[in-house]
Amino acid sequence: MENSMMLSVNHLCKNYEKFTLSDVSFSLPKGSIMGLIGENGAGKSTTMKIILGMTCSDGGSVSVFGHEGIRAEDREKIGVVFDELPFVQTMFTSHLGKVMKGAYKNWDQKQYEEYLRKFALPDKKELKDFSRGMKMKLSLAVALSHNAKLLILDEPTSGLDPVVRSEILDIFLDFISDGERSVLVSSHITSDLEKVADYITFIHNGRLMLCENKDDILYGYGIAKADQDTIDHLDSELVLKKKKGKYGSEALVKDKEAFLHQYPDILVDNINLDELMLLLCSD
Amino acid sequence: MKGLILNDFYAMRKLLKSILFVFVIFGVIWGIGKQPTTGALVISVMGISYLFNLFSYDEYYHWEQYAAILPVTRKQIVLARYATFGITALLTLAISLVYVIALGGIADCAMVLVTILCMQGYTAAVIIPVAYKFGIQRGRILYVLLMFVPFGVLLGLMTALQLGGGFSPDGSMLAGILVGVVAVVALMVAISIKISIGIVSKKTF
Amino acid sequence: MNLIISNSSGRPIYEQITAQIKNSIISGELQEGEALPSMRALAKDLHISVITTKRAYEDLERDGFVVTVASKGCFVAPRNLELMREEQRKKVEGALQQAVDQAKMASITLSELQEMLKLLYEE
Repeated sequence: MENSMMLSVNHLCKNYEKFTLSDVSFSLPKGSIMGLIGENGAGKSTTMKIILGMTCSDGGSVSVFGHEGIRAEDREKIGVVFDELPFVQTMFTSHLGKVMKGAYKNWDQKQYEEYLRKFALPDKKELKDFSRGMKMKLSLAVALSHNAKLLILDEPTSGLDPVVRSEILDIFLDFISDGERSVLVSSHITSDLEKVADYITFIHNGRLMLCENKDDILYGYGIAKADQDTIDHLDSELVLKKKKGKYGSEALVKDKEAFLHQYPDILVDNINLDELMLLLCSD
Repeated sequence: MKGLILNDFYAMRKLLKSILFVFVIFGVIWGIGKQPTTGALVISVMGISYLFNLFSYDEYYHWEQYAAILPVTRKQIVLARYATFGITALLTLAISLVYVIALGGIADCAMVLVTILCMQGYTAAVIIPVAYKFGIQRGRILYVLLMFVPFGVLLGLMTALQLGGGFSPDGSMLAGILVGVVAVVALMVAISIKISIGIVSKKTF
Repeated sequence: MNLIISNSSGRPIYEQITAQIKNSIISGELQEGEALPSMRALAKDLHISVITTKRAYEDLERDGFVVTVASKGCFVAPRNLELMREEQRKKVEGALQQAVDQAKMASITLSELQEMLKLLYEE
């Protein structure tokens, strides 16, 4: 079982002065895409930084490629995209290629140049003059040009137009298409993840709220809508969360089918990730 | 590690013109003043102090974050930075020597060589750990203050010697002092590297 | 083969895929032994996650419409008339169920309904 896992995060904890990440666990199988969702400051970036060894944890463990902890040579096989371009922006793309060639053993210059062409990224132009979309594509080109097995991306689609976002999602699907590689991507644009992610992990206030197969969420979960009295008296086994509204109440249902079996007369809507996030976070 | 050093030099690329300009200006000033050895010293110290900008770039362009996820250890990150300083030191040293020789100061070459190497070694040894620990802004201030230390020591030494009855050291004694100074600077650099590795290893991003 | 995926129908995407592939097999558009696109290629082309296409293929295999050959891929299973009849029956049943529900709401009696069905069938 362990061998089919690309990445396992076990009971991760991290204490900051004003923020605590507590007991976050999830596993990413080979050949799949996991979306890490949560509002800004929920702990997505912290989790990623601990995985990458940029920050140390105060508890728990991380396994990458089947062994515990991350070593310098593991990073050879990990492509990382930060939300900000992390390169000296007075450089040209060709300079960056040479830097990366000196940094990664498996740097594939041909592949890099191919991505530059594909993404229409010019040379002889300083990186600081690139648009946000171009910068993101450049980050991706670097992450994809050293034969990485695992892509870790922090908010890669934020601030990009739908066309570029769609191109990026295509690249993810392409990347995992041999079944041997995986993607961990954080985003607060849940509609992107709704399309391509296989698993959804939801972190809220530093705590893990949910980590499940996406289809099980989208087709299993539902929102029951009825008057407050009806909602109040629902079988608590079937209901995860209740929320009062002015004109009626809602209940988050984990298993739509089982619920409808017991309450065939109550309206149950499908749910999307945004609604799920909102309901799970509501008090 | 090669990638990290290359990155440092590409980062400095834009400054190259202004560095060369400063070199020429200082070269001319001290050339006219017939003090090529002082000129060479100023040029090499100026040259290496341009590298302080690297620490600002690291932070400003988030390069330190990316370096942390490259397949290198924290130790290698630090060693690469020292290597950049070392390579730059040798380059400016070469320029300085050419300059001194061109202005007819061949006799002073050995002295210039050792002095410059020591000044650059001292600079790197002080500035790098300070910049890693406190950031380059405070590093610069501290550096300016610490530049007075070697001059102070030198001045003190000279005064002491003069007070000692106009004693002038002979050649072998001078050589002994030089070797001593070089050894002290080399030791400083070694300790500095160790401290920097300690600081960077504990860094989180 | 065409696969038309609706994102707003509320019907799970894997169900849409299985239903349409089943139709193609029943109609003979997909022949016995014909290879289906790989799960991952299909996911990429339809712009959906692999877990969804995987589920669709698993359901197709469970229902006997396709066979998976390890490391070769997924192929249309030998035509099984019994199975297809069963599948068609289920569809008709589903449609009839809808008609019955509708009839009950409109208080149409069983005999009326039978009459309607007879007329329609003989048309």
